[in-house]
Amino acid sequence: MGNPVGLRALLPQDILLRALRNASMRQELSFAFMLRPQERATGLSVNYDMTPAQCQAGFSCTYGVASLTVENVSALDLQVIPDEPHHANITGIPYKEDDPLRAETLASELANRAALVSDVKVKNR
Amino acid sequence: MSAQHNPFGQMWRGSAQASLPEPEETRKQQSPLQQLVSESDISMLGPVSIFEQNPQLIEFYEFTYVPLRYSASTIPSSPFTSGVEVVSMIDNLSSENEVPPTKYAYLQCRAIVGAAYGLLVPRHKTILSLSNIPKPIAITDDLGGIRIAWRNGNKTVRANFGADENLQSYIYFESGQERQVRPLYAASLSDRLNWLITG
Repeated sequence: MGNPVGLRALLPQDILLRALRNASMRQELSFAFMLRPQERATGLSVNYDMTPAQCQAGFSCTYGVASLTVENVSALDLQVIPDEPHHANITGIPYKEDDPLRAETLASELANRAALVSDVKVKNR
Repeated sequence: MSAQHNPFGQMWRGSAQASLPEPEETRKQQSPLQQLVSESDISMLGPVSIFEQNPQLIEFYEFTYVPLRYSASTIPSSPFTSGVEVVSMIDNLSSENEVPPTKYAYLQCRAIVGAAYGLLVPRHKTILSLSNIPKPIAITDDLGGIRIAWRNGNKTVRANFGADENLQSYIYFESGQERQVRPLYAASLSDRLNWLITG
């Protein structure tokens, strides 16, 4: 699938960032890789080409950031589709209501490959 | 089985009967667990409605009841620590999450987790087994459902309580390449917690 006009193709070594919306996610990263209801149609929302601090600046309140590479994601037969200069969606992850076994399994696999790169609570508004 | 036929049915409905003094002989025959139960504040138990909606829970509670809240004076250094912590953790979900749990998820979670921990007692013939259960991590989802995760080595158990009765509640567990999902009941959760802490 081609990228939208103006967006560069992501490379295997590109780093994807997932903001943690809850303090418990620092201890259980799999919670961060479950699809949210609003992501059901688009995929798991991630940022790229930015620092963890820049990533957290885009949310009202976050408790850290997890990172993983495009290669990590591709190894699970998932795709990373950029839709904005610093934003992409990981597609292929089912919502837990649709396929709980695969949703939970992929959450574990992504968590196993991810690293906690920030455990700082940031409240912006 | 209905709540009316539950031999402990009176206890669920209020603390009046539970607060009656017991004969000394009866107390001497009680196990430490039974004494703990009789000394606990029964009025802190979940509402009766959860049992009326889920008759199977009554059967679990009939022989696996553990109090859901204790006072510090009752258990100064209790091996129930993990059981108390998990109930306290469930109670604190509203203050620690952006989206509070729904009433449905909260009642289901508290009843099922409490009963699951209670089921481990007769299985191991000792309340000490409860202290072997690793401290879980809990969170609410965007709809007010509750997710709880337990880890022990390479074993993981996660319980997902749907925000309402139309959303899925299930147990997910994994060990190495073994991954499965099962329906979420007190018995199935207890079985997985037992699996988590045993070889």
